[in-house]
Amino acid sequence: MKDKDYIEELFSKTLNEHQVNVRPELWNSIQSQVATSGASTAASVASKSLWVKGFIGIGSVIAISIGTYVYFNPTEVIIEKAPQPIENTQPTKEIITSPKEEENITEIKGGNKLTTTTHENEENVNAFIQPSHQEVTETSAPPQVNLTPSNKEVVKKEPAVIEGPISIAQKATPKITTPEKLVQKEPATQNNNNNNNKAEPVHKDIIKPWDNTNVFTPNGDGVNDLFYLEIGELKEFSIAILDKDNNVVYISDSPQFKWDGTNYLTGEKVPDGTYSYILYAVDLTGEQTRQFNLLYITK
Amino acid sequence: MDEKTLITGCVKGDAKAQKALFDKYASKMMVVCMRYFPNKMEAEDILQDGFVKIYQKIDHYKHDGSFEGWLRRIFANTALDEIRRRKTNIEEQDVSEFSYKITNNETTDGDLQADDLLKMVQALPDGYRIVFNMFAIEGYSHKEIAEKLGISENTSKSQFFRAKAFLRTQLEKIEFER
Repeated sequence: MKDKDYIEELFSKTLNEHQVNVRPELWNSIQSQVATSGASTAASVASKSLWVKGFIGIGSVIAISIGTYVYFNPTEVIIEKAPQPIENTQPTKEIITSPKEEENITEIKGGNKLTTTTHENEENVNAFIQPSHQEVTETSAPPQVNLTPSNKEVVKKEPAVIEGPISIAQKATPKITTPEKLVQKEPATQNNNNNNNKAEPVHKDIIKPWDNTNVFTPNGDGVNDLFYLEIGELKEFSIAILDKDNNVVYISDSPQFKWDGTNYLTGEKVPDGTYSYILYAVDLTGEQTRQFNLLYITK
Repeated sequence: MDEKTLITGCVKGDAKAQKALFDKYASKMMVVCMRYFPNKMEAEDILQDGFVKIYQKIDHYKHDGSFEGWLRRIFANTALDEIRRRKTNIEEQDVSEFSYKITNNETTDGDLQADDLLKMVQALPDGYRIVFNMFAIEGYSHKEIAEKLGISENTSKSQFFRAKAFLRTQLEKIEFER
């Protein structure tokens, strides 16, 4: 039906091969956007596999304990399972392959450790896992996302965010927009913080998320040594802190993150100066927020 | 870096591979964006959004069919999402409202010719341009276009034929060979 005439062909051929110079600066803003969103994906994959390992660990613990139980208490089992003689052959099989099992046992010890640590960090892990689910649903239906009216505002904001790193960094006083939806009600936030981080010094040290005076002094004097945000429950969260050359110095995807002012790659304290952070969050209603903000470090 | 290592690198989130991918394809993909958004700033926004999407979803690439084609689709879809979001009016446009002149067509060698063609497409009114892009260059059917843009198939067809007729007269005017 579609007979390509020369106009179609001319345009499609020529324009498909055509190239236009692209400003290299565009790469910088792409990179910082990818840094924030990429961090969350990577971490959620990692935590997922941790869980999978945990489950495999639990599974094999159960399997082996049944095996050893059967092995050490053969009479009991035979009595119990007398009506089903076929089942009895299985334990013997396992016994035959016992050299392999020894290997398994060492693995299981690892597995056990994993599960216990995941229990300790249950809240953190939950925080990780939620984003991964969200990620999946999001990618499966991308076109619809842009259609929903609630998303409009967010998309509109984006150009501002993109220009942010360049334009805002030069200004002395940053303009900071306050997404009210992201900041949850005060009581809820406080509970959260108290539950999770009893050891942390309390309120004074908290830099409020959208505070204009984002100054923080990681000098170890016990005052204002950690940078973190007071945020309630979120579906998805990631933050990247960049230095003035837009190099990433810290990445996290936990809303309860605490940054002590060290470069996450080198482990060294970062020098004083102006930094910026980009954060991406999806709250429980599914509202997305991207934020670009400045952060001043003075020790 | 060949295409495969490039892709696997990007799947792992390797920054070097991501940069290499950008360097390799940005200038071609910019053309896709500029076809939909004649305004350079807007085209750049689409380009950025498209690349971010690609780095996030590159693990969805199935390795069947050309990688470049896959990339093109993503940029075209990113542009179309934005077009839909803006509720761009596809139907009511009057050709007489715009005029187009190709300046500097003394030389007709390869790249300048392509530049001229791009300018011509960019000068089309929104509805003509979007439909022409989708049908003639991206290869969508009128049915798909109708679904994507929320217009009728007939509108898609008529926009396309008008666009083509318009481009033809333009081409004749500047005496393209053939």
